[in-house]
Amino acid sequence: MAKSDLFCSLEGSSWTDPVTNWTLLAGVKLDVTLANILKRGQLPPMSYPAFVHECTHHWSFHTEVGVALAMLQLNARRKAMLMKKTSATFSDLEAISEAQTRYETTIALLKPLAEGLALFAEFDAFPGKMPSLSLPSGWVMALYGEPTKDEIADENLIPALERHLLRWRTSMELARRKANLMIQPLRCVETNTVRGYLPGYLLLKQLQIVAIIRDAAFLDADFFYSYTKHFFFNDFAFVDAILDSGESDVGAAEHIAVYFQQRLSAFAHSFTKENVARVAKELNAPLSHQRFLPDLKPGTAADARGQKRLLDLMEELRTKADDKLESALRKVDMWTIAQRELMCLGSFSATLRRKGSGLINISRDGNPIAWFPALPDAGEFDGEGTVAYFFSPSRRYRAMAASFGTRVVSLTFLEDQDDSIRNEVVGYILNRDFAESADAALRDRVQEMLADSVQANVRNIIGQLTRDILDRIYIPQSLNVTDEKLPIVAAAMSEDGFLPLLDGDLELLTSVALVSTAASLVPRSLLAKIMKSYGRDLEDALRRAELASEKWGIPFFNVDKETIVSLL
Amino acid sequence: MEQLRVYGLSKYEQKQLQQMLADAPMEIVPEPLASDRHQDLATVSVIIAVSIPALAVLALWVSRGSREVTVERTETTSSGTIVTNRYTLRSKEAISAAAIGKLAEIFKVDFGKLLKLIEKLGSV
Repeated sequence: MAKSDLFCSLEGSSWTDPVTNWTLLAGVKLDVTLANILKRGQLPPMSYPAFVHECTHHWSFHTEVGVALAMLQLNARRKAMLMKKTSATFSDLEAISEAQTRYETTIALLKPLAEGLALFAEFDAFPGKMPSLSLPSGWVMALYGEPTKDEIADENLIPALERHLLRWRTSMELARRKANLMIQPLRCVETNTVRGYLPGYLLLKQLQIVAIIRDAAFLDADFFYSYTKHFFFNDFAFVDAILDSGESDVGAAEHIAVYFQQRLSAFAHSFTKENVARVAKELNAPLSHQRFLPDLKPGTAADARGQKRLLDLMEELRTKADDKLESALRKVDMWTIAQRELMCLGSFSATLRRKGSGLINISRDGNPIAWFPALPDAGEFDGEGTVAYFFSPSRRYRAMAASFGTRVVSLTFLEDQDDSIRNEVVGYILNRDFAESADAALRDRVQEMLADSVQANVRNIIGQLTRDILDRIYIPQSLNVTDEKLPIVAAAMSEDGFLPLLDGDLELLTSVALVSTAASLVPRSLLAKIMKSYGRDLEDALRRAELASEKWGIPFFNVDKETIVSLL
Repeated sequence: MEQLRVYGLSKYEQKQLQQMLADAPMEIVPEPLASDRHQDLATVSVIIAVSIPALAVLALWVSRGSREVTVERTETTSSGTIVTNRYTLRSKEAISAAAIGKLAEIFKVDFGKLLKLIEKLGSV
């Protein structure tokens, strides 16, 4: 396995923006790996955990819930752009604040779950017996798998995916990443910011155990992962609660929070044969013309209302407004919604030069990197631009683009594409720097409009109320301990997660992390050999984990002679 | 006081480094987060006092993992100007003579003493 530099330097962490669905993969240095990517289309192995993490966010937010949230933000930003601070009326500000409150409340409630799902993808998702494969796993197969000639000939790349996952799950790189998760605070809020990585992850681990008890289909961890994403994010009834204009301020936030808590409670009761069959079918359903929606009829009245509310917002964007600026802003937002399908895998700034020929010279610091074919109407230019590698997980294409300013001047698809996709993508803004600065300016505009207003105070209070309930929603369900032990264990884990439970021994915690990522994939005897190769003792780790388990009343592993089942 | 700042550490790495540096005081600075973005787990930077033992431990720690870290020296001059100097240490070369030489130059410590301590600690 290639050396990992995932925890690197000043570039910071990878991230996904829920409004634009832009992603940043901190571990991909496109300028360094460009030639290899162009040749094979694959990403450097070291970028895998960050990729699957961000791809899960991208997948989760390229859904009806994700689009509803994006619409709320874009609406607020449009309104803020159209107002003048000096003449904005109370109701103008209320309209912006209202959209912000709904957006922020939903994002806060979903965040631990969304992070938990992304971490489940890193440490647990693995294909099993169910016929469907999650979208991110399919892309892991394409971007990281190394299929044999026979597998390619048979069009069965699943074994290549399994080999890739097995390599990672038994590696020290991933064990350290899991150990880093296990020492995060068992709290949803840190320094007034909602995070909740450990509570969200442990919640899903607990729910998977419940799911497996109810139906063996959930032994397929990749299916459980898809099912969870589908249950919470492909949910028009949630869209109804998010967009319902019947309530405002605290009432709206409360409505959203109550819906979410009810949905979370319903999740544990949803693992029936009927739902398994229905979701398995829906996961394979073709996407509708809206592209982020499976082509399905809504189930309940709330689903139908949510669908209508969302389609009405889409229609508003498509409609020309009387005001020219508003029309232009709607058009920009329409493109923003459309290009949410794209996930950027890497980008870099470079000098782009085209003089006469059909090729664009890409260089950095005077050193030539590549020649890209120019689009027919690209024109001539010489100056700073960007190169980006991106793909559409849902529409299954990959492309390399060069942008000069906001204009796409070169576009090369890695697979053959029809003209409709090509023409659409040329209209996207693929210059990350420009997109990010425009996004930041619009965010700032909203904050500027609301600064020092009554609405800002109300929003702050609602934000605090939402943060206050998160631990009560997540923590009790994330730990498999008795009611009596819950406050004791939760308090012990509130700062450094599992570390105090293991007497502050970071090395033991790392061994426990390795057992937890590898145990479900290899027999006990092989795991002992793997651990020995890393200078670690499986039996010692199990014995000491068992002591901690007895002391704190929290099960770590179910162990028998040949197998180990990880409960964390 | 001259300070050594190490950027982009995970919480796990910060704890590892803290254990290796024994009781040396360490200031932990969380790196900025956007509240609504879905991010990878947060990173921190740590600030420790410049010393030969701290630099030796740091170089060895980087060499034993598969990582790269950016270190920064800040110094306030007599005129009040803050001077910073950065260097990226990579695991493959962290204990090479070139990298140790660079660390000694940036942090103004004795190259020979630093090299000797790294060799001593590395053999344990």
